[in-house]
Amino acid sequence: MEQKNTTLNTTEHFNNSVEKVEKNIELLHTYTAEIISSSQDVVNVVSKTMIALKELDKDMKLMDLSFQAYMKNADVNLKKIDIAKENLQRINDRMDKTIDQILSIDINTASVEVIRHRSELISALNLQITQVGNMLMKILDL
Amino acid sequence: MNQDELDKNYNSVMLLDRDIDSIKNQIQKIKDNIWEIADDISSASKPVAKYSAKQFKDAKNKDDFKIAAMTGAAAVVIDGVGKTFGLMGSVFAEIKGEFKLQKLRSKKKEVALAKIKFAEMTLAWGTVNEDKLGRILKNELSLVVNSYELDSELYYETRQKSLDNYLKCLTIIKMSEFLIKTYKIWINRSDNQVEKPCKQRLLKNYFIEKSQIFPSKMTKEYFIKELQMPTLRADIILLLQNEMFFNLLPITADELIKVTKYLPDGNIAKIAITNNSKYQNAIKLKRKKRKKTVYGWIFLIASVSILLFFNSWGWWNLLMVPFSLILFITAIFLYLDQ
Repeated sequence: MEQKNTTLNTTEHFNNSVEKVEKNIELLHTYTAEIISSSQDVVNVVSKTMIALKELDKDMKLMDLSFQAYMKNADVNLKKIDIAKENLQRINDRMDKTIDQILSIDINTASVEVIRHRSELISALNLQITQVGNMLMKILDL
Repeated sequence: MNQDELDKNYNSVMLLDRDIDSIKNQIQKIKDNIWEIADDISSASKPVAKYSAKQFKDAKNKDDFKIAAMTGAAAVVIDGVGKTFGLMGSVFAEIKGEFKLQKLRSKKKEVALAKIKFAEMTLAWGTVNEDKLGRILKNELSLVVNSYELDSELYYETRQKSLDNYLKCLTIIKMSEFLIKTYKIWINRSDNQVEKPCKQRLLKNYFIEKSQIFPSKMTKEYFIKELQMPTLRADIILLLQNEMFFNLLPITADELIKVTKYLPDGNIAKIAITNNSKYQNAIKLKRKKRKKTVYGWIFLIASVSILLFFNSWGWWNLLMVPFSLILFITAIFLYLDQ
């Protein structure tokens, strides 16, 4: 009789354990599913972040390039202005001579040949002034 | 160096900060991207936090609570990482951008100062030469021309070039002043506006008021008298030949047309003004006006005649009403279409 009771207790205990294990497996299954789902979200975010980081890196490089281009352009402009200054000085020296020559001729009293020569000088002067004007326009446009 | 070119350059000078603005926009874009990434990272903490909350709910023993707390802490850490990334990245972009902007601004200031220096040189050049070129032009204009043929052969081109030289010199002075003012304003970050150089104003200020290339008190009577002379002063020839001076003449377009109409064919003034496009336009306008008036009168007389003709049949004739109406409308259309 005592042996029979012991056997019954053991069976009941075994049944309870199996039930407990089954429950735990079920719980584990649910947790695993949730962990996988959460991980999937995290993986998605990480991959999205990686792409965005690459894009950010590209933008930073682009900004650096634009900055360098603007700086280089400014340096080129400075050189252009220096050259223009030298040219202006050169043209000015030539112009002074031409103007003095023209002013020494009075159109009212000069002969036809002298008037023609004066006309040539004025044409030369026109070219020189145009050069100065163009230089100024280019500097304005830099 | 014409008005279009001046306008173009004026507009480009007004866009001085375009490269700085471009860099500013790029920095802003980078900062926005950083915050976007930060938000993405922070959003990853949400499912973890949710999972942690569930773990807390299902926890039965001490170990379960520990695991739930660790998961919660992980969520907080992820969120923190996102926010820190956003904040640090944004500060970094701001500092890096500001550093670049400062460098670019200082380089641009260097260029602006060099431009000012150049403009000061051209201004000095213009101021020195303005008087000399004015004297050359005045010498050209002191002539009295006997025949139009002689003028076109010997003097016309030189006179035009002397005028062009003087005008260019004045434009260079005005542009230099404009450039100096504009760049100084830009350097000082002031809100002042610089007035755009205007050629028409230049003509009036310099040719009449300042340098007196043309006499400032040339009366209409004197001008008409000069036009009728067999010889003509070169300054009047210059006034007549160049359309830019048309509005400076001491006589209206209508009066000028009337005076030149009665001048003999070989008259120098008449030949000189013939190729002036503004004078030609004034003639065309006057002809149009005259044509309009003539058409108007013809239709008015015709309409009244028809009206009277129908009236002689008696007012009961209803045909005359729509007929007269159509006639009047046609007359108005033709009149306006001229």
